[in-house]
Amino acid sequence: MTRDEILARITEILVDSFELEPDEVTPEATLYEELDLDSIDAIDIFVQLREITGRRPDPEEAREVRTVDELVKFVEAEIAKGPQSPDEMGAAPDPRELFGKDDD
Amino acid sequence: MVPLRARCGARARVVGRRWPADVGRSNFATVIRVDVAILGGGLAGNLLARQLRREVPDASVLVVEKSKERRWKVGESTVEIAAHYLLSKQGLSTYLYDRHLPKNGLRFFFDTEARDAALTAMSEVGTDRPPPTPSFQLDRARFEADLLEMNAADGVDVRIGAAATKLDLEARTFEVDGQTVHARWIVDGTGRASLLARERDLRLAIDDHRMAAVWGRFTGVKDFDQIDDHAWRARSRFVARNLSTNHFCYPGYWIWFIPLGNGVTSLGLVGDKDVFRRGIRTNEGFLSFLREHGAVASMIGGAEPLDLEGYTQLAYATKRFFHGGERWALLGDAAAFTDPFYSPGSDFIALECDYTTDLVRRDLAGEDVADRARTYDAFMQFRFDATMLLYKDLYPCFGSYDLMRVKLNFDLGCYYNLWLDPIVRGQHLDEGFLFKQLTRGPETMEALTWFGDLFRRTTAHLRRRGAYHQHNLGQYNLGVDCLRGWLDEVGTARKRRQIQRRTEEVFNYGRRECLALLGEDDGKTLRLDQFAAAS
Repeated sequence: MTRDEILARITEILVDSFELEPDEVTPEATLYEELDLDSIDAIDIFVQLREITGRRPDPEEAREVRTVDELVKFVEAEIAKGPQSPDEMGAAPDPRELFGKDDD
Repeated sequence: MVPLRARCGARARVVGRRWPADVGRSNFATVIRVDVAILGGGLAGNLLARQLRREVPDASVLVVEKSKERRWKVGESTVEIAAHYLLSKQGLSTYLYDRHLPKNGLRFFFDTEARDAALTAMSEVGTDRPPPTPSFQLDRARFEADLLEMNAADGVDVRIGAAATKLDLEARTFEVDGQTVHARWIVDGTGRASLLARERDLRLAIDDHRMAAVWGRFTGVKDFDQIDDHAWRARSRFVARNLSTNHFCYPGYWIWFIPLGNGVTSLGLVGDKDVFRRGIRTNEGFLSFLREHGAVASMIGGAEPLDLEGYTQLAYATKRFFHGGERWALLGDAAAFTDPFYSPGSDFIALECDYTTDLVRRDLAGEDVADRARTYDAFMQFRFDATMLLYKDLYPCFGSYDLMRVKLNFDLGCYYNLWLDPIVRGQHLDEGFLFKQLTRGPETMEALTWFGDLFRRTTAHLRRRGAYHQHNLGQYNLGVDCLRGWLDEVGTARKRRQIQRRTEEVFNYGRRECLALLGEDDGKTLRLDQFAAAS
């Protein structure tokens, strides 16, 4: 994926998931201040990015990301590392398990 | 009793198409095959049957109701989600306004420590105009009888006076009147005694919310709007207080007044089990307890009991509401119950009927609904858990106007912004939306827990200062502190950010008002993520 393609995909995720306007998602835009996202939104974004990167993101590295441009660079670096095996990636978190009461 | 095939010939072909050839071959004359069998012809079961007839008209529906008589039942007061459902999904607007009472919101009164305040002296929270969002006071006996009649006339196979036995969920069969019913879906709306919950061992006890209740129907209860005090009547301006669900609030318990029409009023007591002394579950014992409260006594001088009922433990949970793989669902009290303070029972029924109808529709169209049922189930569990947080360990603050003014406004703001809004918009049937809600669920639960702690700390503070009852006389609040300015937005196509800003406003209201009572007001306005951090 080229950098432009990554930016386009990130823009798509942000617009679809958080009802942002496409022109708000500029490389300089800060995720938490200007785009008004919060820590739960960030988890959501990184879960969706697994589909592009094929990797489970390192939480420490993910926390360092502050702008859209940094997010693009983060995805680039992840892709460059190569995909993880399904075992290494683990399953994407299922939010239904947070509230399910049935053990069966 | 007319067999299903004779009454619904057109749909018998549909049934035949959906069943494997070997099912019910042996004794065809005594086998009923149906797409959806609903156990229980009460409110929940009848509403589901009606919704299925309206939205999945090809589905054959059987309702089995044990009791031949429709009697009064608790759960008369509906709130906004249920009312919206009854109007938008059930098409019952004319019927409800014709046969039941429109409700003028929830209303709350506060008393002195000695419980001797006159009604007109009590502090009050409640609107002074008819609410912009409709709700109803249901005469459950009439409603259920009418729904049964409407459903039977609409092609539902209604079996009255028949009990379901020998439930076999693997085979999806049960027996009724010596006939075997094979149902593609089995839905249980039989209330607390739920056959299906017992069969699947679904019931979960809730040991940390020990609330009990006793209630009955009475004639001769005084009308709130006939109280001989012009200034007091003028205070509520355009609204008839008598049509509200009126709560008299005390530390650890509350008393309800709900009008049912035809001169009948439902009176009830809900509270910690310690309040329920010996003899209180008799007509005289109940009335005697009520008469210990001056304002309540002034309303029931001429009250004559018609019936009396009670539960010793109100709240319980369920391991599951729906199972898409095994094709069963629980409705209403057959599933779970939280607490009646904000009348949430019919809200739960509305959601359960909506979800079950959607699962049946998809299943009959050939979709595997096991995964979707899990999502709906998780959302119901989230709704249940979040609702419990409104009440758990919070009854001690119920008797203080200062505390409850804040809690009532705060809870109403959250209800309109976070629950009513998406349901009016139909988002509760969108899996993507539900996943997002569930992902944010722990944050919501943490924030509600944080506010619960704040209310408890504020209660303890007012108690220590001897200020718990300080403003229980003479105050009046409309109960819309958190809704002013944005009620018109509710149910419209709001942006996510707009919803978050409103949540932030409601949270800041709750925090600011509690800190003011604590004498800790810091003048700060927090961002939403700071509440998450604080909790």
